[in-house]
Amino acid sequence: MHSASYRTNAILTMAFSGLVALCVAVSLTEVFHRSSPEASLKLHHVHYFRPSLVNNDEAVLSFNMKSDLSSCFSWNTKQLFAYIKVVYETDKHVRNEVTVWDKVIKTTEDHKVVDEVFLSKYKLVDNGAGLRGRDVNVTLAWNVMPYIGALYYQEKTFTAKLPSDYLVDS
Amino acid sequence: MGLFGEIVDELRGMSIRQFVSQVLGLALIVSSAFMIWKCLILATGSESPVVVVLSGSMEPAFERGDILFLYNGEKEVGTGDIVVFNLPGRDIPIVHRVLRMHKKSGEFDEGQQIDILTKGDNNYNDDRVLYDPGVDWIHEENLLGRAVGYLPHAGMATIYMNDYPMIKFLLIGFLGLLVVTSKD
Repeated sequence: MHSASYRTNAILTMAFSGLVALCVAVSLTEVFHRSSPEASLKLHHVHYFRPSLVNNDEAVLSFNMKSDLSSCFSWNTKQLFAYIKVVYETDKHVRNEVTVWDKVIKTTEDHKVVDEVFLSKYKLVDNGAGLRGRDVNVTLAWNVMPYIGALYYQEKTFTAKLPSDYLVDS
Repeated sequence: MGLFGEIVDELRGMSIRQFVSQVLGLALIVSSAFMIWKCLILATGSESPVVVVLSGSMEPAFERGDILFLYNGEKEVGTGDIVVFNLPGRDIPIVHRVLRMHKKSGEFDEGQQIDILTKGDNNYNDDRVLYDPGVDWIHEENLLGRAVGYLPHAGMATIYMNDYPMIKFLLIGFLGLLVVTSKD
């Protein structure tokens, strides 16, 4: 009844239950977190646009972004993974999503981008030759990644149009 | 002395009837755990609903030993999703983020409709170097699920047990002994 094994068992069970309850409570607080992120994103310039050796359209873009994602941080937020995806439809594919830029936002300092022009990090590559004159959605999305609990996504979508001809001098 | 002595004493003083009942108790615990696991598989649609992160390729978000909860539902996989996938012929599942996806128009074989290219947040290049030579895309059939929940460090024990199998046998043996000898 009062043996060492019983006492160890009781203490461990108690500690474990307490830890589980705490983890659940912390991850539930995220439900009540309200955020009001602001972002505007414009396609600034197309720097390179031509087919690759295997005839996949490739483009290098630059963007003009103004954003403030600071309100997405709650006390349980470890980091935001922000990324820009270009979403479009072609004859060969009913849905294409290509990431052209991403950034890990860790501190409350680097979540603000004020009127910054920057080059895409990855090329916009189509799986085919369907980018000329294409109307595309340019979406700034971010994945809110917690210290513990659920991962979730938010996004803001803007539109752009790609040039109707390849660039020759690039 | 101590815990181990108590356990041995306990075993000696036990009748056959008591012993059988304790063994049945142990079997009940094991089968309940198994049933919970199977129910999780049903509920999430993923054949492996809980996975342990084994590499640092998603740092700083996920470290070695963290646990991810997966869901493999109806929703189409999209760019930015963190997916867990198996490459054909390899046992160890990989946790990476979807960098590109192209959904083909027209009819295709089950699980072949969507071309997916992945990349680890902490890797410089995309995963084409990991795929088999000549393979440019993975497909839905390779996916175990999307990461929807995160629990840090809790999978470290699993990693130690895989690295040093002796720990696993010792732990299982000790817990088994403890359950068999404990009185309710």
